[in-house]
Amino acid sequence: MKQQLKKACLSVSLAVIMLAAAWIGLVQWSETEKAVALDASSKVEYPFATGKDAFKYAPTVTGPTEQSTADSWVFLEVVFDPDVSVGVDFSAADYIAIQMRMDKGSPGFSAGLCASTGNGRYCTNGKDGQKAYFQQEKDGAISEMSILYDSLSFPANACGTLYIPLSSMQWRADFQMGDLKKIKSFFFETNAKYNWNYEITFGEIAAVKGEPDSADAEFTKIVDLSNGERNKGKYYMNGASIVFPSDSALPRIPYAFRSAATAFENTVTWKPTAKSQTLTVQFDDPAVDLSGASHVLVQYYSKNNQRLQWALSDGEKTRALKNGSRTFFIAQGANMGNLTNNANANGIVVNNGRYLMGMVVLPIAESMTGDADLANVSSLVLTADAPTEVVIGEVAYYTADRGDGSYEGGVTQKILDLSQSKGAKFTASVAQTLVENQGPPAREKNGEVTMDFDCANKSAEDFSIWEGGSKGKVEMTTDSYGKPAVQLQATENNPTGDAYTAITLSSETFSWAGMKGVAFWARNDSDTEVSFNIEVDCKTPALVNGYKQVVSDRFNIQQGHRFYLYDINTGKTTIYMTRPTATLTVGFEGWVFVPFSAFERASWSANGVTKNQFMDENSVVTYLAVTVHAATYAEKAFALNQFGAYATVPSFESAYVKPDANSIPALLGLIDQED
Amino acid sequence: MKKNRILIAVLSLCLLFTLGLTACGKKKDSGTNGGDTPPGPTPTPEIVYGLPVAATGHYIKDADVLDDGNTRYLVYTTNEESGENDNVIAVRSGKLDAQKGWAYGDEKIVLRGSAGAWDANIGSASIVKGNFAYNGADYDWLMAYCATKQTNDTQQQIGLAVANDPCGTWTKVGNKPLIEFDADVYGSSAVGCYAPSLVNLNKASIVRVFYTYADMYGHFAQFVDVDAADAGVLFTDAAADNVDLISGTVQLPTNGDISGGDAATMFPNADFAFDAANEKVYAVKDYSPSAATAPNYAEKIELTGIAEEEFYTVETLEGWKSVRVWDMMDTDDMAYERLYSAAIVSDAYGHIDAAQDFEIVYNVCDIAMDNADWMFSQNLKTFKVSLTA
Repeated sequence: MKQQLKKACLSVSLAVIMLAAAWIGLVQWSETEKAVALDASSKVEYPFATGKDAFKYAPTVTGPTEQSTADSWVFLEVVFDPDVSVGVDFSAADYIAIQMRMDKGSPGFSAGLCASTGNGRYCTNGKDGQKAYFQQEKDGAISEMSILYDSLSFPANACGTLYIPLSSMQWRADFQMGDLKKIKSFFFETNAKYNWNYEITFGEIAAVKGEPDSADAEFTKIVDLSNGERNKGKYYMNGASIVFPSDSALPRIPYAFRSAATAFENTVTWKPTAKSQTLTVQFDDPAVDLSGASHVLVQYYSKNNQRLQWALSDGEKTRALKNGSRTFFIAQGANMGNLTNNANANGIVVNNGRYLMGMVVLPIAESMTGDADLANVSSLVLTADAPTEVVIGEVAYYTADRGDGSYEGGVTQKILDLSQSKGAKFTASVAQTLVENQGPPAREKNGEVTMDFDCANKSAEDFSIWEGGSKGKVEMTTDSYGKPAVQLQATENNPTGDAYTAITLSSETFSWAGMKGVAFWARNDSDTEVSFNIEVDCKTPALVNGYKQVVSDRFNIQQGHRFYLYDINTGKTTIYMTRPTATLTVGFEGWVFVPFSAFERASWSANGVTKNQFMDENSVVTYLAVTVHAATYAEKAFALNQFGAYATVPSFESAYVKPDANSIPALLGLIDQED
Repeated sequence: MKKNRILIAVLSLCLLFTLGLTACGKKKDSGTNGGDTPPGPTPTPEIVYGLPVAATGHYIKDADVLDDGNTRYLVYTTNEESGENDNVIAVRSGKLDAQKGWAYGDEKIVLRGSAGAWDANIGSASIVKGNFAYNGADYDWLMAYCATKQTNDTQQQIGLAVANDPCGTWTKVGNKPLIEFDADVYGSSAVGCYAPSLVNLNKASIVRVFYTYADMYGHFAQFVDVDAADAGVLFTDAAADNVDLISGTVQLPTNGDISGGDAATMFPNADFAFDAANEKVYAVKDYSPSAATAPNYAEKIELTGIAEEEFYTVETLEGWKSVRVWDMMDTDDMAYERLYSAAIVSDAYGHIDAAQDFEIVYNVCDIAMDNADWMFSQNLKTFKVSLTA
């Protein structure tokens, strides 16, 4: 009997011990040992937004660009909407659902939940072989993922929802234990030794009770982006960078300064001759309080693209552009800063604003760093990085709430008004580098006609022929004045490519703003009429999605417009018709004047520049080329040189019509030569 | 005795012969029996008022009409031989009867093609009064005419002629055209330069030669200004680089209010008149495109005007302003489906200074479907229009 009792007690004890051990084991591995019913055949209603706005307010994480030679952990934590002290109760949840998109690369991550208190992590670590699931946004298809090396590996370009069963996670043994009833965040972690060069966008997150494919499943959003971007403080990064949609928002700030005819009045041209030379710009008042301002605005114009550092000074300390920060250029006529320039330690290059009068926009808090007292700013200081030439004018500050990142609806306050001459406000470290302006910069001209492009110091190799078009030939020749000119001809039609031979003349930037038409020297070197098109890219503020921003469109000559031919050998002006484009009559040698009204926007170029905006007062030309219909004009050579623009409309001339001052030879300054 | 009988017989025969000659030489009155014409006053030929009607087998087309004081000159293209398509330029002068209208005199053929020359086949002509000279002689009238070596009305070019009287002798100037059409460059099947229309700008010797230029791109109006004080100089090398002798060519604008159905507005077969007082130019032109069935002439004509300054610039300004369009519905009994080749009645210099009322002379003809000999149905009609209407 006793023996039997002993055996019974032993069995019970063993059972109790086994049960206890089993119970302990459950706590260690998983608090919810429910069977997972989700699989690749499951049909789940997609739980989050889809389409082009699915990730509208979601931030993007960028991982290290290079592999680490040693262990280097990258950690991202997405804090849930409820206050951290309260947390989210996952004790009854079966899954966590994370909306995400692989924008670049295909890394592997361990993932899990962070406890509200302590450092407990309920995660995939130690759960190799357990499953997770990924549902594609585009078609709802579900694929099975398996945890390996504590991690989940994501395919490239994956876009959809990650479902991690809570049963596929456990409290990490080397961290504190936590309470699933109080979870503050979701995390991803990876080792840069094995995963680098990736970008992931994280969207909304939901706790799921029940099987996702069940009609009874309960999805509770715990990261909700339906009302906009969340507070940046809800995201914690270590070892990677994160960018929010509002970070790439462009400022919508109205142009703050004078326009058109008076834009250059009382500005200064600064021509530093060496690195580290400075220009100090004082304001109308001895000191200005910029502590509440969001941006500093500075009137700026340059043909060059050299770097300048921009700093605010309180007389003792400065606050300058910081490395990696963004600045903007808003051209005259625009109200949206779509031209961005990132700074390095030596400042910014406003390359995209060359030849455009506009304003440099400096975000004070976001892009400038230093110890200057913003409540007591006395000057703006520019520091050259190399010899250059810039025009600096008026200064203002702008105050607005960030909002969606656009700072729209703020107030501008001018702090240096140049409606009168104020040369004393500008001080260059080298005095001879500063000149006060009364008008736009001087430019090279033939008489009254500008000369913005010629073939001086050029060779045939400087004129590229588009490889996608028909074939052509470029040779150098001389024009009527002995100057180097370029001779062009189409040589062969391309049956499989474009029917036109396209030859680039210039990719430089110059301005034909507010002019009436293009003027150039030409000579027909063939025995027939030759027609060719002039292709120009016009860059100017245009209305796009409700805001005026600088865009560029291609324009060229259309058939049926009248233009001038002035033959320097006969002295006769002809008004001809574009047939179908700029047409040189047989034997012509002289000047061609084509009005801008003869140009139309190319059908394939639709960025927003309208016909009315073509060559308007705010515009620049960034590309000049010639196209010839190869089949029609093969082997018909013609020469070109000295492209510019005219502001005075020429007149026809005859025994009866005597225009005097606005005949073409008079406008070109040829009269004295001919006499 | 025998000699007397012979003498009497001879005298009798002579008398009979004389009487017979007298009877043959006398014009027969219509309606007489062919016998002796009774004595009495010679009847006055009936005066015909209004535009002349082409005789059977003839056509009248491409008129140019101008008033020199009390005399109206009607210049037109007709055929020399009945039933033939052999163009010549003819002129009639007209006198006005205040009640009955214009009475035109006999037709005078003043210009023919020169066999084997560039102008073997004549087209149309326009004349203008002024002070001209050629080969040392002074002339009061200048003519521009289009012609071609081709027999199919292609490759037309424009030449000049001078005269002292529109109904008198016209002398061609030089032996080549003033305005050439290079068929090798611009196409051998193109019509070329046709429909000249002259305006003496300063009522002296500076003349604007309007014409229609036609090639693969369509029919457009152009002009050159010439100083024909010495018309012969215009055909020398001196004129090649002298803008005051012959200017560059101007293609007229086509923007504004012009009726037309082409993708690119055309300006064909136009006649021009100059309102110097208001610095305006008027044109009456064919509607384009022309009829799709024979004859392929216009079905409408249009009178339109433009500020003179718009000719001299390529800027797109206000353009043409239409005064009136006429079509079949406007013709007598709506009888004609073809209205074309119109002319503005101007003064002798091609001016209509400050005119408010316009008289238009235009061509009509039958359509081939109704009349296989439609060519010889070409005649002139007239419209009047007032700017103040």
